[in-house]
Amino acid sequence: MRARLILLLAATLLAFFLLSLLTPWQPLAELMDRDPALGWAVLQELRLPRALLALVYGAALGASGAAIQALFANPLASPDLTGTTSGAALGAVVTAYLLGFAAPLALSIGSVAGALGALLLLLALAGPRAETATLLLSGLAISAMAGALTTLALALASSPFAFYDAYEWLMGSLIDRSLAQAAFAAIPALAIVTLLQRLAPALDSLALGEEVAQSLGHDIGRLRLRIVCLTAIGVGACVAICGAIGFVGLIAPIFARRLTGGHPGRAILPAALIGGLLLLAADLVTRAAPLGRTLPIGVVTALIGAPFFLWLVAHMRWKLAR
Amino acid sequence: MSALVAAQGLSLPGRLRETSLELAGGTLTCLIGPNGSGKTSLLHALAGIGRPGGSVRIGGIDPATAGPAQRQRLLAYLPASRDVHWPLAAADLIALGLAAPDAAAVDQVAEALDLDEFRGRRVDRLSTGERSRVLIARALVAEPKLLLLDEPVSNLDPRWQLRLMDHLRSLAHQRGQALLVAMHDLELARIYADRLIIMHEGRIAADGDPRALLEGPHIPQVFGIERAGEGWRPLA
Repeated sequence: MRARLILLLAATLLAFFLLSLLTPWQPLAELMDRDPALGWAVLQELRLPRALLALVYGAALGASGAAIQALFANPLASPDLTGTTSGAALGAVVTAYLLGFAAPLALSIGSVAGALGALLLLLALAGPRAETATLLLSGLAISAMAGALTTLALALASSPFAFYDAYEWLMGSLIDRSLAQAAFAAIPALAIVTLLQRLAPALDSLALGEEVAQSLGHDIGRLRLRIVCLTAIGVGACVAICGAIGFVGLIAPIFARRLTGGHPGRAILPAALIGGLLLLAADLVTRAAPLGRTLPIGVVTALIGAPFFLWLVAHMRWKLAR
Repeated sequence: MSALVAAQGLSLPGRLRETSLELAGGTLTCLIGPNGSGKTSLLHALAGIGRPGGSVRIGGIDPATAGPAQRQRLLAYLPASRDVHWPLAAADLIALGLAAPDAAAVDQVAEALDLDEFRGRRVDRLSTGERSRVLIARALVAEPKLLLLDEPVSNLDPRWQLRLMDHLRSLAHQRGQALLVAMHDLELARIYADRLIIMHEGRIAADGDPRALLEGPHIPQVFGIERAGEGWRPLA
């Protein structure tokens, strides 16, 4: 049952990946006819990095979201709502301010450090088993702080062009990234999905509370630290390359748990697959939008994700009121 | 013959003073004491919760060094809280007590605790008493050598309190498991316990035959209550 589900999700993901490579089909086919070498170059250097980034960024967000939701025992904990994404963006912008956008490794490290700082601050502010309100308010405060500092760094930037570049990057974009840049996001993202997946049994037992998880031999302090570090690495590495993309880390785990009978840990791998799927789909939407130009993908995920978030909050309130 | 469970120098800072304890297989031991006397702390220390000092051996094995599957056969712990953080189905929640899927084991414990009709229901939609039974089933399902149960009868109706205690006693007497059960109901303890431990101020105040201890001086000293006919009344 579970293996079949994973296989089905993986097959759908592969189909969307291929669809992303071949969309739009018409100009690619014409180019292949006229100049096959150029056609292949377009495929390899433009479309492959873009599809790959959508897949791995989505997977990292999905797996990280599932892991921190399991850790905080709260379906509203996600990289963006906890301020992790904003922290990563701040880390990257500060690094870019100091070293420029041309230092990808430094950018990644800065971004990971920013995400780590945000998550540790959240743990310190809200505590490991936070009420929804405390968790969201702490996340909001961290996001606001990181956002303000990011804007400050941009306002102090030496040239308006740098400002515009950074602004476009902050909106979240998968376009015009090289294959090497895609690898900078893909390797950490796939690594953290694999490592988080190995924590699934511990996170499942955490559904029964920390005491039971400890009685089963899980070291909760170490588990918490691992999840915080892995999430920071996965989200940070992707934000450094593609900017901040919201809501996928919130939505993917919620769908995944529906498919895995509500198990918070077992949902990690399906959440990664669904996250990749969502971001590939969102990227296809950006291309299909009839506006004559490509929409920033972060805008698309927010346009779809924010109403979903509102529905979720209303649903939780309604359930509590019952 | 040495005891099934041997604990040496167990302690939890500020909660449990250094305590050594042996528990025999086939014995239902009840753990009583006022609020804050250290009942839960003793269970925690035995279950390895909260980095306790000292050592525990169950059947000669240190659970701290056992892998997940072996550990689940050594001990299980039921917390006093009946909270479940995610809306799992009852059968899935029970299966969390197993390192590897085992439908027969889940069936068996679900039948023993009369949970068949709830199997597919989400635990957040069960009553507190029903959810209690599901959580107890999770603790029992792997048939561990040592069962540490914190107030298993709270939230249960009188009939289920007796049914559960009957079942726990049969686990001890027929399967040879060692049970340590924290509870507040002195009458249930008198009926079911093979051995009684009274906790007071973070240490074991008395340990022995339930009837003798319940009639002795410890109950007035520790709880501040005294016999009044069939029941008890608070000391002035």
